[in-house]
Amino acid sequence: MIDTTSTYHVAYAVVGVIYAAYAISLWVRARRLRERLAAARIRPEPRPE
Amino acid sequence: MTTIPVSNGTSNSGSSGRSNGTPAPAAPRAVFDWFSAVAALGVVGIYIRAIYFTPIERLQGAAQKIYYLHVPAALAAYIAISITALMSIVYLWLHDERADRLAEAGAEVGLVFLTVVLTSGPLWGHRIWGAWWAWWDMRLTLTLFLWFIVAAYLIVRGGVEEAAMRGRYSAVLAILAALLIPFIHLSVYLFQARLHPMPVVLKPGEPSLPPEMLTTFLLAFAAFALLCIAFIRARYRVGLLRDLAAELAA
Repeated sequence: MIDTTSTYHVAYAVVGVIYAAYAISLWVRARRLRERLAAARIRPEPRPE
Repeated sequence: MTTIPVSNGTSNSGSSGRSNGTPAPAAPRAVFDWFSAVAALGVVGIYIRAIYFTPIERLQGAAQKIYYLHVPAALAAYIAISITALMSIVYLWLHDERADRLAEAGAEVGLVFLTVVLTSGPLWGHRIWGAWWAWWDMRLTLTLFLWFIVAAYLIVRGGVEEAAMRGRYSAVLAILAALLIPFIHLSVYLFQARLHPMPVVLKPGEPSLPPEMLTTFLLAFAAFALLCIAFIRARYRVGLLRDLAAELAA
């Protein structure tokens, strides 16, 4: 049997990194948008002239 | 889904294209929930089962275990892109912004799974076929073509300002992308010159995998399908937050 263990280790690591990076990107985007939403909510209404 | 209401009562159209005076949807509190946790646990479980409790194939050695990530990722990409196409048809028919947002979520998640396929495949192929890539293998080339169509879909969505036009243009691309999926699956039957083997599970008749390997594959498919749905749900919520923030800022 040929030894292909290193290839399979690299593939499993790379795939895990791709999924984790995407999950983190979703979390970061959601956090930034939530901050924008909160900032927009506390922005004072413009006074009528 | 746990939600909190948007307090200022914004109800008219923003970047999301809502123009019927309906109340703004509630903002999601968290993008990841119990469903995402179950999916993540499933993926961890599959890593453990594939690495420690699944036999090593005699000819390819340990590299054959890439199969349990590569093929389920391809099937999950097909699911995500099919959801995108279906929701695009719904959007073209009903002009419902929720369908458009779900289509966008499916496309982005589909691109992630296609990236996994196009990364794990060449790693496996380099060791077993002796080549990172072969343009004459239609399954490889068509999968890359699908990746570019889905990337173009997301670029169109990022580049077109007007919501209705963005929805229509991207819906057409999504339907074209989904039409490619059957050709990718059947390409091993349609073309003689190929590196990809004939299907061992998704074929007429009995699967040709030993029972332990088949069980791992089926569990991996279930885990990555769950992860795909969890990502789509999370990405839908990110899209919802983006649209609500754009409405409030307008």
